[in-house]
Amino acid sequence: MKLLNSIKKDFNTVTFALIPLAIVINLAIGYLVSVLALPIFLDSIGTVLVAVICGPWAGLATGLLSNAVGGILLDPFFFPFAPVAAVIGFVAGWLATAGFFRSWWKAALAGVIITVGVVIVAAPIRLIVFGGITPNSVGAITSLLVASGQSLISSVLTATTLSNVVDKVVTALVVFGILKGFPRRTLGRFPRSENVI
Amino acid sequence: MAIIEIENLTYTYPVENFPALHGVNLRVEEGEWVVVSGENEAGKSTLCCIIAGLIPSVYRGKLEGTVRLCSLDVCQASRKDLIHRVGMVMQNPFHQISGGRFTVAEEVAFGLENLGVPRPEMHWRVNDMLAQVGIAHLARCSPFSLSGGQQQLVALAAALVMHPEVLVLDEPTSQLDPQASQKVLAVVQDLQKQGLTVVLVEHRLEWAAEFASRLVILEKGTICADGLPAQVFAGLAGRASGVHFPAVTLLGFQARREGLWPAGRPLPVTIEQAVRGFRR
Amino acid sequence: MFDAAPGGWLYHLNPLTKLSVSLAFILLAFLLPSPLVSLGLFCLAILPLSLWGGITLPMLNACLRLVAPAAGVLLVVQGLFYPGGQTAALRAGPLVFWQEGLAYAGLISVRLLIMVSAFSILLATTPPAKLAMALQQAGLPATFAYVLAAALQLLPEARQRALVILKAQRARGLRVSGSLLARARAVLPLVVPMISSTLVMAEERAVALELRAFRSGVKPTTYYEIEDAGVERTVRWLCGLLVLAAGIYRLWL
Ligand SMILES: Nc1ncnc2c1ncn2[C@@H]1O[C@H](COP(=O)(O)OP(=O)(O)OP(=O)(O)O)[C@@H](O)[C@H]1O
Ligand SMILES: [Mg+2]
Repeated sequence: MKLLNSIKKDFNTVTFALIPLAIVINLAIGYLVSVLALPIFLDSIGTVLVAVICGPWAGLATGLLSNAVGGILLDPFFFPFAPVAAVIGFVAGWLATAGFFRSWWKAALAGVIITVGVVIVAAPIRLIVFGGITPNSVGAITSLLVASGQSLISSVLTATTLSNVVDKVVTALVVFGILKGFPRRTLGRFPRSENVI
Repeated sequence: MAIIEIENLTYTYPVENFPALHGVNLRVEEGEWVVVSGENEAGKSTLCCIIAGLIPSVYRGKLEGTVRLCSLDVCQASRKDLIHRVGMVMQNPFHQISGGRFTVAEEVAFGLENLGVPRPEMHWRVNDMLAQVGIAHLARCSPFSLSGGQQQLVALAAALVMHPEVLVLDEPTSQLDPQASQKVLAVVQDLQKQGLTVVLVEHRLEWAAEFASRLVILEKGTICADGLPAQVFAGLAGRASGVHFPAVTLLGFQARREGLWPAGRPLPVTIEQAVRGFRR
Repeated sequence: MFDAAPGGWLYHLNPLTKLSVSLAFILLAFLLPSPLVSLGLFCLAILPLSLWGGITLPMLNACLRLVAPAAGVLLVVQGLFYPGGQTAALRAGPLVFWQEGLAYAGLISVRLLIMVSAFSILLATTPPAKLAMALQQAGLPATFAYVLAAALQLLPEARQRALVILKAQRARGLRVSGSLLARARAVLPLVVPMISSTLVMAEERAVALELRAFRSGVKPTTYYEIEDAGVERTVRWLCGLLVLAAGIYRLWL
């Protein structure tokens, strides 16, 4: 009951107004980064943002819906990775509640912990749905590792970790940096603003 | 019975140290058209939010005194009860679009949908309102494809479709060109004649004074003048109040100083009044 | 990816029906681990359906763009390095392609084909707005239906805007093929204002939503109604049963 009430408190009108905008941030920045051919994704900034100021469940919802929208508008391969996006949101929100978004180094550490969550959920999906080799940079790294003699499973784990850890640390730092200097007046309207002020 | 009754209102936003409004008393009768003006940060938007019932339910903070709307205590009333009584249109046309609806008709219907209004009633109310505001031809367009002026008309229709008794307008035309502004105000004027109570925040008194039945000036969170436009202008003469007097009124001042305008005669606010005054 | 224009009978179906059929195809492909079943599904169900609905071209286009590269890499990597490889299928110099590896790659590729083609049937014939509406009618809470619809509506415009900004940056000397650092440096000035303005906009949107009785506690109605013929409901039930049967077969047989 207590949990249900706290979830209800997190999902206020401002949260519902923010989530669609955060989804758009995820997908638009992810797209921009891919156009620029940068070696990271940056496609979960919006999810982490919502998670930090609106709580883990709102973060989870943002992740799930982000991939639903990506699947509908961009390409169907977004759908199978929805659980990964959800985990990013949930873990980030949970870490924010534990105070991880109050200093630079803690935010960076949060990025590392989020990566652990990502690897645990993403690796099985990569293996089951894509046979380990996804049609992107992670798949390319996996292929190289497999070719160098590693087993498929350890290659997938290594490739997922490598490609995510920088990305998630940068994501967490960007979110921290933006929220740090933000006027309290605006931040105060979000249900978990105490996570950053 | 006044439709808006504000007594001894003091309100402080959360986290702030100083009240945005203090000691405010305001009674507005049904069918009045009150224009609110004053310098930046005077508390005009805050007053609008209070009348529209967004404070303290949405903005929280500390509110003292009483605010009654159609005899309903705004602090205790639910959104559902308030929404039939007061509508609000804000400054930025783009930010007032809900974003969740793909056509203008649905956008206007969004509020009715959320109140669970049955579909047939919703259809005629929306169609009526679109026609009344003059955007029936846009019903099937995307709200995002419209110009700022058209978007503001959509926002107006969305507020009016709830059939409110009071309409609060917070600088609704400050981002529109003169033509679009005229259109928005023409619609409001029509409805006001049918009995709608209007509270309009406006900097450009030049033309707001034309239809205002009453002018309220805010200064640093308090009401510093309240009355017929001509009286208010006369009272404010020579004070730095951040109010832009209409050119005709300034002309009246000058004329009075030069003895061309009798001291007892109210200052002109519109060109018509000036002409009539000079002819006499 | 798709631009669902009115026309064709698939367009007029309830999006939920198309969604159930697509999901059923995909689940069947995953529950029955035989490339033949999946290939059969594609040739005997999805392809005819797309022909009938007049969307074969966009569907095949999507498959070519998404599945073909994945399949290519899979065939090479799994063919060469499959751990259980025993029967050589092809020798090219020092390289050996194992039959088991190729078969596994084939299975995965056909599944991906089913995934993309099945969703294409839904997505190429359904405007996003209609999908969100249908989900709300089917019981998705109005709040989440709003989130979905708002994001679906905003994204195309935001991507366009991002591209315009990028173009402006290019005009000012940013080279997309430039050094990593230069490109990385170009991203931050785009990202930061985008997020800041989002927070402010969320605040204002929330007020706008409150003024429209969003979350007023009443069960919302919808302005348009999406038709739901009895036949369509039957089809959805059948899809469910089919998947259930496949699941039981998979677990016990
Ligand atoms: N959300 C908020 N939280 C805290 N303080 C606020 C908030 N909005 C406004 N204020 C403060 O309240 C005071 C009144 O602001 P308000 O926006 O009502 O003025 P205004 O007369 O509408 O000004 P403007 O002409 O710029 O629109 C100002 O000091 C402002 O800084
Ligand atoms: Mg204001």
